[in-house]
Amino acid sequence: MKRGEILVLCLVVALLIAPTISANIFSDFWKDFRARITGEATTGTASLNLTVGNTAPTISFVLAVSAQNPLESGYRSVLLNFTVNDTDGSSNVNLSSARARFNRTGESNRDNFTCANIGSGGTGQTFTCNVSMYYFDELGVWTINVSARDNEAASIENSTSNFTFNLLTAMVISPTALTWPTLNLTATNFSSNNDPVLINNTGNSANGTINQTAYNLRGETTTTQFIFAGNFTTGNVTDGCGAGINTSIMANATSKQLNGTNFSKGNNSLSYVNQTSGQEQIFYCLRGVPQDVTGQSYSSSFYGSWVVEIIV
Amino acid sequence: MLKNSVDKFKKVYDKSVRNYLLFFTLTILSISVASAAGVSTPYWNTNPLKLGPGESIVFSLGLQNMVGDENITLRANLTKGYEIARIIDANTDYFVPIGSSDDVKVNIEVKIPENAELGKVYGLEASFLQVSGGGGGGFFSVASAFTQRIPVEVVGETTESAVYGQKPSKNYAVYMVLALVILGIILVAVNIKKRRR
Repeated sequence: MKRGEILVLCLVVALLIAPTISANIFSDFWKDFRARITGEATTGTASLNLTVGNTAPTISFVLAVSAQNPLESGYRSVLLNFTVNDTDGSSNVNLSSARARFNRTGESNRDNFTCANIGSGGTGQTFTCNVSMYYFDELGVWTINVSARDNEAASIENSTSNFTFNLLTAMVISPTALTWPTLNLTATNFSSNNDPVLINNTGNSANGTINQTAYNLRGETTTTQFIFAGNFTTGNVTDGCGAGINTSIMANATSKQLNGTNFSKGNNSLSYVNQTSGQEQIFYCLRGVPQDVTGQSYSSSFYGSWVVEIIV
Repeated sequence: MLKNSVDKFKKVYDKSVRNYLLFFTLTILSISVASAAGVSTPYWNTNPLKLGPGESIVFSLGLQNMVGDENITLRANLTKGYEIARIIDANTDYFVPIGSSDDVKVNIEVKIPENAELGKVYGLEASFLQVSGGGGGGFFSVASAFTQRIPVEVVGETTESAVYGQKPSKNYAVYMVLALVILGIILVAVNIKKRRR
């Protein structure tokens, strides 16, 4: 390098450095000068808040939930695990923030807001949740929504998973033995004195039909005498006697759909005794007895119990 | 006179018994408080079982007895669809103890014929009748029953059925042989090329 070139290079460097140095020198000079004139302190302490950018957590894993069967008249605990990652460190995940929710359009949400932390690894925290699915929850696909926050209140949620809630056809009927008062031969339209039979839908099947299969009643003493199934009507109204739109005339060993009845799902504990609470009631009526029978007891013990059948 | 009076009384009494006193049911031998049972299924009318022609599957229905106060027995029967399905359990009377929640399984095998038409839907119906427990033991008792309809749809390619059942495995041998043949051809080709050089 020639001498001239070295000189030019030094000059350029000097020009670059000079403003910086001079700025500091003059700055200090003026500060000192102003302080001397105004009496302003030349040193002091100051608090400094630095905000370092927080990264929101992510949900890296949601354990697949297999298809679940409802539990008769109760709830099924569905176990769910998921992992929340935070690049700011697993300790930055708020351990009491994990939530799980199952939802389906038209149905009540099923939640657990107190998921338990079951361990950590790397930048993640793993949580486990038990969510209760009730017997009257609708069958089909339910969306799984999980969420969590970090200690800076940044939140994350994930709704990419789902599971299938299966069909359960179930019921409780009560009472299962009917009685009639003492009858005479001329009696007509006699209702049972301990009906209705209450049917509780203890599963999640909806829009099912209720059928009844009746059998002739045979005399307990004179076994050649019968009260025929056709002498009975069954329906869902108190005045079930007769052949109205809400009653059905029975026939021996024949399954007959009960007019006006419905098998809907619902929370039985509401006890509305209607479709909303998943309940239906059946009344039994003896329209009359054959004129050739004698006074004795007649029962279903020989031909078998009458059958209340749910068809889904 | 006395005889006439007695005869007259007897006649009236007989007529009364004959015409007016029909003891239909005065006594209940025993009463069960309630009859309870349940059947769970992975398939229903809007979620049919899907199988291809020639395919078969075994799936289970679960029986429950969570509410009742006694053990029950349910008698299972296929009332429709028996041309493609059968219950494979030896005894089709299923004892369901109190507290059972799908512990008792009813295993059903479904086989679709090779020549089944795509899109055809078979209607399978499984019926369950309570044959013991729960039903009232009185003179006039009522028992419970269920009929579960399970549609079986014939599809070109099955997708989800294996989730619930043991689906027969596909024959992968053909694919493996094909892969080996292709590998062999490549090796031979490379070998020939090397020799020519």
